[in-house]
Amino acid sequence: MENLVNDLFGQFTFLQKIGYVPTAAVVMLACALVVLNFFGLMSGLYTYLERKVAGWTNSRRGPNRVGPYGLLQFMADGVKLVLKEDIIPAAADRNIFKFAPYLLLLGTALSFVVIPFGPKWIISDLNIGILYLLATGSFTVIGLILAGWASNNKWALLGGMRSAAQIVSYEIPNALAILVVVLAAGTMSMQGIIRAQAGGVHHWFIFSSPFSLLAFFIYFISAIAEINRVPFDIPEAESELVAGYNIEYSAMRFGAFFAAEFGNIYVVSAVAVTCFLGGWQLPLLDDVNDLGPLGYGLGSFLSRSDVLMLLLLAALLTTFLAWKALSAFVWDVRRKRAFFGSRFVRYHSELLVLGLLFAGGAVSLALHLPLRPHLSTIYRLIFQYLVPFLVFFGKAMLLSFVILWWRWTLPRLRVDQLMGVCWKYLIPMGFFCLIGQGFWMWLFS
Amino acid sequence: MEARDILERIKRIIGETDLVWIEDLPGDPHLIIPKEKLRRLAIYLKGDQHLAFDTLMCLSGVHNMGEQDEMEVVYHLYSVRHQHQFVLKIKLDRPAFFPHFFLRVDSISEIWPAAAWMEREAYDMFGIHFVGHSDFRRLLLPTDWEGHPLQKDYQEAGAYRGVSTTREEIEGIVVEGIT
Amino acid sequence: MPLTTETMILNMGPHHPSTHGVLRFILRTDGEVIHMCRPDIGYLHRGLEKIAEQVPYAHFMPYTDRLDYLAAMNCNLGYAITVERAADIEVPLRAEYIRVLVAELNRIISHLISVGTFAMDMGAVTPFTHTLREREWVNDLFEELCGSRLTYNYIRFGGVAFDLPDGFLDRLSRFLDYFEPRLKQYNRFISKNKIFKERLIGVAVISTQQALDYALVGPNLRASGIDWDLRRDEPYSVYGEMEFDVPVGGSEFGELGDCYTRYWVRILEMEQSVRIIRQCIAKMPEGSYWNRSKKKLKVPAGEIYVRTEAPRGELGFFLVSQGGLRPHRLRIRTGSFSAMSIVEEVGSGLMVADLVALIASLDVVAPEVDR
Repeated sequence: MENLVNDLFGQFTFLQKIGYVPTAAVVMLACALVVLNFFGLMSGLYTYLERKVAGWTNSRRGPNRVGPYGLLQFMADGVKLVLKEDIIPAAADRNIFKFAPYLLLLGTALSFVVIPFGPKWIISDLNIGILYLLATGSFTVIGLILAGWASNNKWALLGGMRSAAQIVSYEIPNALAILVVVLAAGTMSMQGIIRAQAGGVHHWFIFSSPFSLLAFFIYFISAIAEINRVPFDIPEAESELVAGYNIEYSAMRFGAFFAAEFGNIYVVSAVAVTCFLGGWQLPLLDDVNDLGPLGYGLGSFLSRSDVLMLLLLAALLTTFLAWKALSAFVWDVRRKRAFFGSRFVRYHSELLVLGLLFAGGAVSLALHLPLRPHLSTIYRLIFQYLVPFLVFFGKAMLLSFVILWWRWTLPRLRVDQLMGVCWKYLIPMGFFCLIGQGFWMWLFS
Repeated sequence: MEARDILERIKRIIGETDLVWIEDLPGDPHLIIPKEKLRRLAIYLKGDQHLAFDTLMCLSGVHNMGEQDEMEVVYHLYSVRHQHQFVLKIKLDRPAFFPHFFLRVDSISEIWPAAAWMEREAYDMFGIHFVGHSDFRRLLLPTDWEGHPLQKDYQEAGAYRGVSTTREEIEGIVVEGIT
Repeated sequence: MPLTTETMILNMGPHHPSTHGVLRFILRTDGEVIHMCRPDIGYLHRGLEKIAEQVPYAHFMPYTDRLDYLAAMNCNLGYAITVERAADIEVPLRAEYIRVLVAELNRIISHLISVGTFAMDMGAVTPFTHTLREREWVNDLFEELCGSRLTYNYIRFGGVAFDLPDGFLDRLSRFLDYFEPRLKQYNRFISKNKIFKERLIGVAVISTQQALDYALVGPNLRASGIDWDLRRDEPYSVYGEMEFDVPVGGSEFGELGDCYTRYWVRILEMEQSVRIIRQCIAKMPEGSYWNRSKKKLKVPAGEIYVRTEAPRGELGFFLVSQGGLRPHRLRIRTGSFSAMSIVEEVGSGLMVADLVALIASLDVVAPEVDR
């Protein structure tokens, strides 16, 4: 069983001087901090993305006022939510009402424990990782029912009831689809499942057999249902239940519901990527660890002096761009323009991004000079940690985009139709996949 | 069928007494019938093969306060099958004392369900009672509203549940009477 | 111990996202299934009929805009025709064509809203914004024509308030050229969507008999299988010279009289409206646009009931005049009113989500119900 603490403890000898328990404590705290921040950032990013995607499909612009391209809109929204009055209805069950959103948040945050970010980036690679995920996913339903009940509002109650029926039902096809993967991988550990898909794109479970392809769709559909997204958003069905279970919530408790909902999009996409799309594996490589030598190569390439000269040229270019941006900034300052209405932000935001990139380049150049002997190691580490993370993240974002895209395209099913889809189609198909996958493996291996 | 032919048929059914046929005024010709005959006539008008008035287009109350204070209920009937229309009218006296006792008509909401809401509206606005209506309440105004606004002598109460209903009470705004 | 269950009284509205204005329904539900559905209207009652008795005939025209704010032109037209028939006012031919043109244009944008909000009530938000985008264009055209975008107050007794501006017809044709393919796009986009159809086909069926009994009008009546359109069967204005089909619900769209048919009839009606507008553009005569009289309008004593085909069906004005400057009584009979009155009958037995579909498919506009 792999986990971050053991990894670090093995790799860095100075940690052994400190001792295992303090190290574990510090690392765990740091992990919690990082995960919570990542979670918060992802939720924010998703709210931004959701609104942008909505804008694209709805033939309007989406957020474009706060920050460049409206990127900081989610922060403004977050600040607004925190500052708003937190209203608790007089007739509500106060304690449960306060507690419910955090239960939801807890379920989502706990999922991040086993979600991998790279071959070595995982908080704890539990040997029952995927089972653990199913379990944390069930926190959601308790949170929703409690919220619906405690609000003492009939619409909220209906929403809570709907969510209970929906999530509990859709956990079955969800689990069945995952069982297909477990059968194919022979392990429940998240990293194990990803490693089982090594060896190129045809080894990814989505393409490895027709049954797991079907299982992917079963998983994806039921996962969307489990996180209450359109076309299965009946627990909050705006045009029917006004807002469903969160009708009475306001301020940050409402924000907590949304953070959990958007965090869940990432969780669901990450699980789909892990189980079906090869996780952090690159399409054409046998194993992402093969990139290590590439890192060595790149490192030694970069440590050559002519390459360094080129980088120096890039730094000069940076200076030029920075000069342009700076002059725009001075123009603004002289005219006392507010930052977000300024020429700098309005006309040179691309320049700003480019400048930042090049500034990064310049800094890395400055770092390169003293680190010349270690460059190979550094690049190996980059390729082992950062590239797989980007691959994984990219795949997850692609799936998330599909989820967001559907949200603004499809109408909503009715309650009974929703149940029908689950019990009449997805569950039989799930069993069929499971048996089929068994036969497939028996035939071809 | 022309309105005159329909009139002839009606006369054959409910007799010629007390019927007033008005066609010299500009607009639609109409038949004023005594209110006792309404229900029987309505059943006939809907059921008869040649008339087949299957829709009630409109049911209106009218309040006249000329030489005598009277209310009218006007029924605009239409037959989609035969594409002809007919206008029935009932006149009700509105004496000064116990007017609600006299403002009573048989409900035709069982014959034309569309009448159900229109009768409720007529009650709401004019205070005409429709006897035999299954769910007879006010339609548009709150149940505890006083008076029936479309009566010509309706005086609006100054306030409803403590909320002023007149604009003059708002300071600084003077509403001139419309001439 | 057996668990007891009981029904629940659910208050839907007056401010509920899918009641399109301020309507209220009192539902008795068993979980999601509605046992009793009682509409409670009157939240937008402004006493238009009382106002009509207080103001001169011409002054009531702006109020008809507010009668159905999504189809102000059609309401204007209905009221104008009523008074013209009662007072025997001649309308120049050009004005008639302009009237038909704007009425049909207004029908298109009214149906666009109806279709868009329908999709939104079914959970698909995007069609709504797209239909609104098209509507904006027409609003711009109307603004060019009469200066306002929602409450037009454009039609006058004996004509229309302003002549068509230069190049208006070209710009209108450009809109129509743009709009017709869009309509097909909507069909691909939402009308043919599997979930959308599943949600609507066979839901809240209004039988032919029920539709007649409750005096449903307009698209709702036609969706129940009755081939009836005032524009064709009792032509007013210059509709008699126009060539168009009347879409009637049938089995090809789904069950007769279900929500989907009502939706689909509206889509087809938009196509027909485009046809009518094109004919208007082609035939638009020159001449006066307003047979304007300087005298104060007096309507001779009499009673007249005039109905016209508004987007929500027949719009009837029952005008009783005693020969004065003001109506003695003006009764307004609207399509939404009868559509609302059928909800109680059809609504019980549906699920909450179906009730939303029913209301949306009847295309009820609250101010028209309450007046």
